[in-house]
Amino acid sequence: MSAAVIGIGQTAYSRASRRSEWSLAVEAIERALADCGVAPGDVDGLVRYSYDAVDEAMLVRSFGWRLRYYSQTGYGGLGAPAVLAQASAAVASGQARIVVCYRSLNGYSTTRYGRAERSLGCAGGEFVARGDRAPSGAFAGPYGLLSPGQVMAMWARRYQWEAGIAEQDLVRALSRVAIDQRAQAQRNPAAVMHGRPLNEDAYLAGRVIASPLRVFDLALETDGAAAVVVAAPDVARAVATPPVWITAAVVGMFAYAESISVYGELRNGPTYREIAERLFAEASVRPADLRAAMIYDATSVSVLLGMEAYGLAAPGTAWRAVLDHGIGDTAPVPVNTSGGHLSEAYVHGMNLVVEAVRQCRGSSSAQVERSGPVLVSSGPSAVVLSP
Amino acid sequence: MTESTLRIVPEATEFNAPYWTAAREGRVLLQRCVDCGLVWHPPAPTCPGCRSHAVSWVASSGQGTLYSYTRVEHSVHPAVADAVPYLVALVELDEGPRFVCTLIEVDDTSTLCATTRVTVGLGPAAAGLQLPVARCSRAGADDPIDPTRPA
Repeated sequence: MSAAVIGIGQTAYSRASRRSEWSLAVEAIERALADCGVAPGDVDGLVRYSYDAVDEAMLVRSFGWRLRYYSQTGYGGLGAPAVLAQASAAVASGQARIVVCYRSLNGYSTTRYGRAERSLGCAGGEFVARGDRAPSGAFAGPYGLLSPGQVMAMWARRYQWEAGIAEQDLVRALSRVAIDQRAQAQRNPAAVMHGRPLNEDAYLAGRVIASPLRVFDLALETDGAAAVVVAAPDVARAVATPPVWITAAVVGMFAYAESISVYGELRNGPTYREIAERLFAEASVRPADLRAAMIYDATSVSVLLGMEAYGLAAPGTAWRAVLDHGIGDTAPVPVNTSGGHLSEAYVHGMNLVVEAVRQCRGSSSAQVERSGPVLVSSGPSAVVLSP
Repeated sequence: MTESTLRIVPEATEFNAPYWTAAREGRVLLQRCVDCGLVWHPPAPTCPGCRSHAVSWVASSGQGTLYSYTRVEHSVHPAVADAVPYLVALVELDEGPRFVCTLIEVDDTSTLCATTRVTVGLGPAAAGLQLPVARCSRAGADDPIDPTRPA
């Protein structure tokens, strides 16, 4: 137990913050520090997403910090577990004692992650696809493969074919993910989709974005920020909030395991499963022991793939497990209990981290009434959090 | 509906220029390791199998199997606003690598499956250029697609 999450904070989640991302970041961090009663001047470390437009130079000015440590995590949503892994390592090695991690984005009003404008260049009156990534790179963009959701639509189709199931079965499983997460959002007043429940008829009436994915299968686009405070054990034991220990972490990378790719293993593949097995061994837990799991849900199919990668279902069977038990209160291990990216907010995984901490503290709006650790996973990166 | 004048063009680099020269003619060049024979895509400076620096270009047969696809119904960029709905295929070429391209001339997507054979050749890519695109192979033949056949 070398580091713990001691504070959590978030702004309002909306589609029109009418504020700068800088302002949002400051508020989320202020709330996280207030949550645990740490004086802002005691922070000595900062870990952020490389994608964040709010950088270290801005925040040290806002808070008057004199940092001893800062670092960044790449590949977008892979950063949700990775910021905790880096903060934990910084604390464990004595490079910092109190580390703030955050993500702030005007994901609807400034940079829409569901659209391609952010990833294409412009030259001579034409749009330019650069690099070799899919979506939007030179080998994908000219063909109209331009958004993460389109790539994940191809993951979903491949999953269907490999599982040997009919499209109807896939769609029913995806709809159950979307509907159950939306139901959790009805219990979470902070969720963007609070007050807007979803049933199967409404799901099926949703427009197809990229087959087989419909609009309800895709992450929201949200303005908002979330932050956590990670601290050394002596600090964690001195504050009023219950410590949530970072008991194991993996920041995995191998060929084509970057956050979105078309060339590598499907994200329930053997290398992902090996990463998960080692993580659970280090945490001395079994997947079935988990209280809950926060599985990075840029799209609904990511939940099925993540359940299989992280041992909540055997390969090719998550669709059936979801049809049988859902992913809410009736699931053996409930998933994305705040509503997740599909229905709470899209804060690039930091809102999943915050919800994992709430589950460990017993303060979730959809609290799982069972002890045990909580998983936060995003592709090949993951952490296990324990009360 | 008006013809879109917006296009998405690939940025060629000095290291992959041969690829794009061939691609504009409808041919797919793959990289092949001179030492171990591994073939890969997209291009990279060294062999991802044996780390050899001796890298050559080989022409793909253009024949492959459908690994996955999606029918894009919602445009996410002005350059494809007039192209929706369109199909994007992920093709597993017979040489091994996967290859992304637009899939054209499919009447009924319910016939597409993991054993669907495709042929890659020059055609209209979704974002405005003529590039290697996929068509379903005609049953029982790997004949070249008739370039005069109407889309």
